[in-house]
Amino acid sequence: MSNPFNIALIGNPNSGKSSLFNALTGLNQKISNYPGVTIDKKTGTVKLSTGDRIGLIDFPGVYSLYPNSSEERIVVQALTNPEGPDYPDAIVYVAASTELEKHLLLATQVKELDIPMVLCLTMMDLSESGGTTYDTEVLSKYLGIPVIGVSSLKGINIDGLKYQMVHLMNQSTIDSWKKGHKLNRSEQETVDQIKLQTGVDNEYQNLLIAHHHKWLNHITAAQRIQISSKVDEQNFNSVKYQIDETMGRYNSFTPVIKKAEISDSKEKGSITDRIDRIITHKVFGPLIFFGVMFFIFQAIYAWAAGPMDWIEGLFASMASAVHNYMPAGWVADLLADGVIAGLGGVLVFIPQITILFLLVSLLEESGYMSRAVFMFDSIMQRFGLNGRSIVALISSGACAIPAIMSTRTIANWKERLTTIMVSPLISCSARIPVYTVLIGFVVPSKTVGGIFNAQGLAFMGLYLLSIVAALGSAWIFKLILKSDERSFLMIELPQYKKPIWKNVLITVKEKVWTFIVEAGRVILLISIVLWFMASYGPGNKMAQSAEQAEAYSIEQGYSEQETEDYIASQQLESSYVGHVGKFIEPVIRPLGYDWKIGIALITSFAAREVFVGTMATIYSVGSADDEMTVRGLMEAEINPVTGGKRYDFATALSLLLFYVFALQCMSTLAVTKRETNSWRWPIIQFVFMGAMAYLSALGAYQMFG
Amino acid sequence: MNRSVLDLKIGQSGVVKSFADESLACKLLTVGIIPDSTISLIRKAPFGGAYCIRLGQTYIAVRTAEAASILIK
Repeated sequence: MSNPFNIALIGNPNSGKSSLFNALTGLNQKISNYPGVTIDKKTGTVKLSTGDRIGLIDFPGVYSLYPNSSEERIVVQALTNPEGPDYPDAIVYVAASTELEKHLLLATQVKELDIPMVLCLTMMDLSESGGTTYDTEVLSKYLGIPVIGVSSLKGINIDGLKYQMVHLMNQSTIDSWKKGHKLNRSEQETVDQIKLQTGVDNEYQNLLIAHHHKWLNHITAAQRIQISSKVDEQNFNSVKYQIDETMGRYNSFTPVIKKAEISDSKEKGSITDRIDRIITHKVFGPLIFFGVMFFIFQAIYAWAAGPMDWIEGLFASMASAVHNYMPAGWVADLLADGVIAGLGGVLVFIPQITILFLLVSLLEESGYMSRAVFMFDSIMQRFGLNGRSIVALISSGACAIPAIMSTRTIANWKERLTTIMVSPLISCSARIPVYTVLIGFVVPSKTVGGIFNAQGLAFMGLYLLSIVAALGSAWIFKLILKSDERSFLMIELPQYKKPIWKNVLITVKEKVWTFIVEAGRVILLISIVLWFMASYGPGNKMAQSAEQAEAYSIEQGYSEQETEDYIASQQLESSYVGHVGKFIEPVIRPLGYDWKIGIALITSFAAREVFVGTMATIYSVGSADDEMTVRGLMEAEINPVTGGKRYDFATALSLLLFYVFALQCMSTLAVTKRETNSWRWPIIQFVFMGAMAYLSALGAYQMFG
Repeated sequence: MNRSVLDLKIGQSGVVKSFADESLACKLLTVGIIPDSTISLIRKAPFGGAYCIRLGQTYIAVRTAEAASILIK
């Protein structure tokens, strides 16, 4: 594929950038969220009226080119490296017309990079009803670029913006623009020196390199040393120059905005303020927060039950259809007992995961998340975290991977690292399958207090336990980790807005689909391998044990069904997978587990949800009955030592605790490795969570077993 | 005497004079808190430690130390 024309969307947080991105690209976009795929950017394609297809990159929202967090650094990194893959051919600068003054600071910085640019004012509908509108001619004359007003919500003027994009493609020359900032002598000398090092023409890019050379990764080690010495030579005072530059810019464009302003009614009592009076109230605020969390967990349990039964039934009838209509043999067995049993065991959780992702993205989209940050910052600080950590901790309820990535907004390294380390302790959606299957063995299904589902409450209890574990571990990390880096909050509380369903649905669809594809792929592979290992054994041991079992059954006078089940389970024990399970049994016996559970523990080190698929495969191979669900199969399993149920209270509780704490997710380890840039932290994470899992499971089984 | 945003009563406004801390000033400037802009103190966080301030139509949450570094006329 030839290199397409790339346009970058750049703007402040809450400028309406993402809505505009969705309005421009529709479903032609990739939101990459998982390991192995690049996660730094959201990309999409836009089809123009000329028939050209251009690439659109949605960069993270930033306030200026002096970034605080690693997420914001991505933008500076891309814009200071003309040779880099993410360097845009043109820029659509997105500013909210409701907050123009604040949003123009970055616009004047970006303008000085001399990249073809258009200023796009979003939320024109809100701004007009709010009272302030701007004369786009005045702004256009000041910046020397086209200015266009749009509303992504109502779809107003999106075509006009696309028309401007055609112009951007054909713009060959661009005049240097320096209205925002005139370099002082020390800056000028430094920039001239750095230009010799970098070979970059643009003055402002060299100035940014002077400020940020320590972390920009396209600067080579040799260049870094050179630039450092030039910066010192010129007494380049980064903090002071940054303040001077920012002030200079404000002084330059504030009068222009005043001139462009057509009407103004700023003192209008805002709805947002009235909502916040209650939402962040001293008493009601926290109560509402916990109410919302409680509602989410009840919803996951209650709303999903119907569709889950339906999916479960579908897979059960698929398995029996395969046995009924396909010729008997290993292909039919592999399909029914391996593939269908394994996949069905996990896909049944799509309803719960969809509801969770839906509710979490509604919280983000509406603006509630940043209120939670505001309310809990002081508590989070006590545990060595930042208010922003709450976003990661809540998202962890869906999945630790996007949660760990969301920590990029935390500027302080110690706070960020602690958040990364403890996020996987919060129970994620992959634990839902395991909890759902096991909880029935610990808590009976009945209604308490008139309306609450007892299992739903127990479910919430597991989440609470995981939160306590996360905060407790964070507190310990706070004592161990040392840092004198400054920490700050400073977060915008955006106006409440009705969630744009299109945005929410696109996000949910992407995340659920990723779950299906990622989890499905791993599970499919593991199910197939497992089926082979469970169906075949070393040498002729399988055949021998079948003969012995058959003889024993006749001796005992078993019925036909009992005989078949007994033979199947004896064969499983002498299969390859049986040998592996037996090998690790001594280590897990104190926790109340047998070799079959041991197999599930091993396979679910790839990903927790594999537990259910493994159970389904192991017990389906070990049983002649296809129609039974995983739970039914586990319920029927007998502990050969005690003669009682295999999944009694103590064993099920011990297993539940193990899954609450253990880090059984290769993707999380991979993302921790990438975000911390070392193997040290994922290893520490794996070990401390593993120790918590083993010890608590041991304690529970020894106490109740 | 240097009065800061913390000396405002809830609901009161003030005009920004300067900043007490240079490195915090860099951050505050970029979110639009600049000398001569009008700031209102809106409310305190439920568990303390942070304040919500208003600047034009924008609401911003800041920690106590950050609020204390914004000096007002």
